Amino acid sequence: MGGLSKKSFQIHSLIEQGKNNQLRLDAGNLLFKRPVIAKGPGQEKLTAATIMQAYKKLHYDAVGVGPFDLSAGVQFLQNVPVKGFPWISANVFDKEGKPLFRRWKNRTINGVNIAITALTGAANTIPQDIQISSWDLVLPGLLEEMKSLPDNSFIILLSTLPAEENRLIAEKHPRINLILEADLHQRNSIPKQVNRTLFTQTEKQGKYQGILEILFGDERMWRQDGKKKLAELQNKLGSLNWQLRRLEKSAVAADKKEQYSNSIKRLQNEKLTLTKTIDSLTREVADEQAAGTKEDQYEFRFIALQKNMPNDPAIEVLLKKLNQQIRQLHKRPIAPGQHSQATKQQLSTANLVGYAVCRECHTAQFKFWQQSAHAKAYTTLVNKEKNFNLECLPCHITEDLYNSTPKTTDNRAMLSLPVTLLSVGCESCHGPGKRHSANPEQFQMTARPQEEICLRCHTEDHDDNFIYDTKILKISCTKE
Amino acid sequence: MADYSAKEKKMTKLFPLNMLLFIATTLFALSSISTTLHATDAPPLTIFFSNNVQGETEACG
Repeated sequence: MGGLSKKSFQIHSLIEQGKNNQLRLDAGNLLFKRPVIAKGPGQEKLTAATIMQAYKKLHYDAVGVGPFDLSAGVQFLQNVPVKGFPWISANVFDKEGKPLFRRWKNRTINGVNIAITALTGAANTIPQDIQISSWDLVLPGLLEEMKSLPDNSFIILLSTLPAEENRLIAEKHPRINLILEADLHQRNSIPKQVNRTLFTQTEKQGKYQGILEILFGDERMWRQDGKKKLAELQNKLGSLNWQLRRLEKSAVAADKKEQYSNSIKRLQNEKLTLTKTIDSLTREVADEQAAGTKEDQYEFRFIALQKNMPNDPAIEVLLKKLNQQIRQLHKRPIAPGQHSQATKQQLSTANLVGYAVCRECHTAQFKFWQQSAHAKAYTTLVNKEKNFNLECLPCHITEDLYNSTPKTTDNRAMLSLPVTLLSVGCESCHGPGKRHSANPEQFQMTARPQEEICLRCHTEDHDDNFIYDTKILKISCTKE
Repeated sequence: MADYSAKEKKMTKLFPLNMLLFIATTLFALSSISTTLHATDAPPLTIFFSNNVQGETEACG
């Protein structure tokens, strides 16, 4: 699920529908998923450069600098061959206190001036030549600068700060109208309001495209959705009426009527209060309608970028080129003797024997496995020309998941594996087979892997539909 | 009998000017109405937003 090409198709299809008053914004942490990445020209940098090219093609208006965007250093962002990339950050400075990125920008849409700024969240590891200032130091000055803008300006903040800090910002600086968040602990987060500020964000890793449609009124205040609230109250009244009728019926039939009278009285009081609230809200909604639109209104959508969605051919060309670049970069696999000790330990192939050895005794199980998706995992990558991609490989080969540490993309040992490990083989689920193959009686294999072994690859990020109890039955081999 | 010819001539001379003034005023009024309608019926601002893409370009398999 997800992908730049599907995202691009969605955006373009909406432009074709005539929606030309648009802003394309990304709140940050666009390029990398780790605070530190490999030095030199690696896969991650090639991928980052491609993403920037795709965003340029999509005419992004602003992209907040997230702490992970700084993983390859500021110079990478400045020197990458994508000129004029719309990075924004109000709180990233060099050691002399000079801003390293544009601090804010503005555009006028539908007669409303829109100012966009961004705040970069703190990180444990940041390049030595930069400093990230706290929001309470930079925001007052920045908002002061924005006073030169018309009074009814709409201010958008792109933020990679934690959600709690964004709420504090909203309480302290009500002039900010919208915060597009990038909190790593939040998923699709429907718009919520604190004070005068609206917040929202999407799921990570580009699986969803967030869309917010704003109808500007005369004032920079979010309109409370009176109609929606009215509908909720009317539903509640309906439910109260039903309860009352039921109780009244029971009271008529019952011998001891007094046992119902208290409940009936309580519900009647509730009904009276609710009816008064509904009357008053109905008048408010009618007045609002008569007066016309005064406050800003919004609607939102999160579009899931599903596998079966169409792709944008122009972006597909870029991604194909990226695959070729990665292939070129990794085409010369390292000879097994050249692996560093650390790499060997990370990959933990030393105790693996490969499916050919398992097949010698477990023929029926091998045949069953051959029909499974696990057996075809590597072929899937070959078909998509991603078999040199170090981000994809770990979950498409046989690894010692019982002992290995989480993989890193430095791990080039994956590029020189024997063919019997180029699939999610028997040992991925049952554990390394070296000792068992030498002495089957003494060393037993794990018959049924624990959920945590499966979750090494079937993570929420990669497999939304993974339910251990169902999937384990599907993949369980034939009994001996 | 009153001589209307001079008056007629004057009217004919004036008519195009009046007409022009009338057209200009009408156009101005219409354009004002049209601007007002446009302001209230302006299409909404659409914001496409995303976050934490984290280097993901497309699904692996």
